Amino acid sequence: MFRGDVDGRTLTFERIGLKGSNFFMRDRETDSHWQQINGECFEGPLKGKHLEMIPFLLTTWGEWRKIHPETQALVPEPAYKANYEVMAKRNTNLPSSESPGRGVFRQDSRLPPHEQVMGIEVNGMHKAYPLASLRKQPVLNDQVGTSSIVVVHNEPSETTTVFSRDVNGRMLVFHEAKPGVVDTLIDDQTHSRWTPYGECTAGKMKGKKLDTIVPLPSFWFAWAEFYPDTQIYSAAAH
Amino acid sequence: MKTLGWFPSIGLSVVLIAPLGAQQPPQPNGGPFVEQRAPRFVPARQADFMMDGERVVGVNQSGVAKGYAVRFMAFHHIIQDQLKEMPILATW
Repeated sequence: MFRGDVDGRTLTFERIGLKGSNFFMRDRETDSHWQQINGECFEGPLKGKHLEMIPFLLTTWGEWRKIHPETQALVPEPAYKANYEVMAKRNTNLPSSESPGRGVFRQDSRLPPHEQVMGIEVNGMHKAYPLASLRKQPVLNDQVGTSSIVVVHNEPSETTTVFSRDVNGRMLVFHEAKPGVVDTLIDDQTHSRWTPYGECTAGKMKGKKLDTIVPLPSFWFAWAEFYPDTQIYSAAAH
Repeated sequence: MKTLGWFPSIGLSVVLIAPLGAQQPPQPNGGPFVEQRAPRFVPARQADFMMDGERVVGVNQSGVAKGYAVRFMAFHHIIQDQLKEMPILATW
């Protein structure tokens, strides 16, 4: 999810091919080429520019409606009904296929290619959290470089949120109010209560909001290809 | 969309081209993919085509919240939209 303009100029994007495992786009205005995964322009007059990322949440429609009752929904175009159905089936079958597909230019065997990960970038460092780990441990207090973060995974809606644990210079450590249920989190330091969306609803910290880090849902092969320096969260290391 | 009223031929070309393109049956890979440059939206309570358990990409900014079903994004790949005055590019 990006801003559609660069330096004040709105661009018109079309999908033109694959670079590595990820598609890239061209803009009609300058004929520059842009990578979808990170919004980087790698060829053409705008080479070196980046599309600005916009915070987004991957979740279920039910959960999104619950937290944003006033939301609008994208309307499907009836003309493409058959296409939507083919794509939906195809995407359901993807994780079982062994090969990461054509064009992958770097392989990283630390995880199976189609392992689903949530990838984050914090102060220029990258870390991947396998969904399988998050399911086992839905509230993860972790460290990426010098940054203290918390990863919260709500399994019923498969929603992952990530926040800085640094609140005005004070490091918080979070746990679920009820084991395995992340609807309410409590911090060990002030015993305040927090939502899985980083908002404090009760206690000393009431009204505070944690700084959000937007995780990128990805297959391992795609994340590892573009962020080869990435760390991987592993429960064993903790 | 304000712009369609302002320059009707844009609206007309969308109406004409979209059904023609759809005459082709989808290829095994789901294509040919068609970018969505004039997305339409309805309020949540009117979105009877959505299922509670399906995946969406949600954005909430400048007082506007929108949900894009992955089911539709996976085909369009590129959706060019606006959040108030801000142009946005939704990709999948």
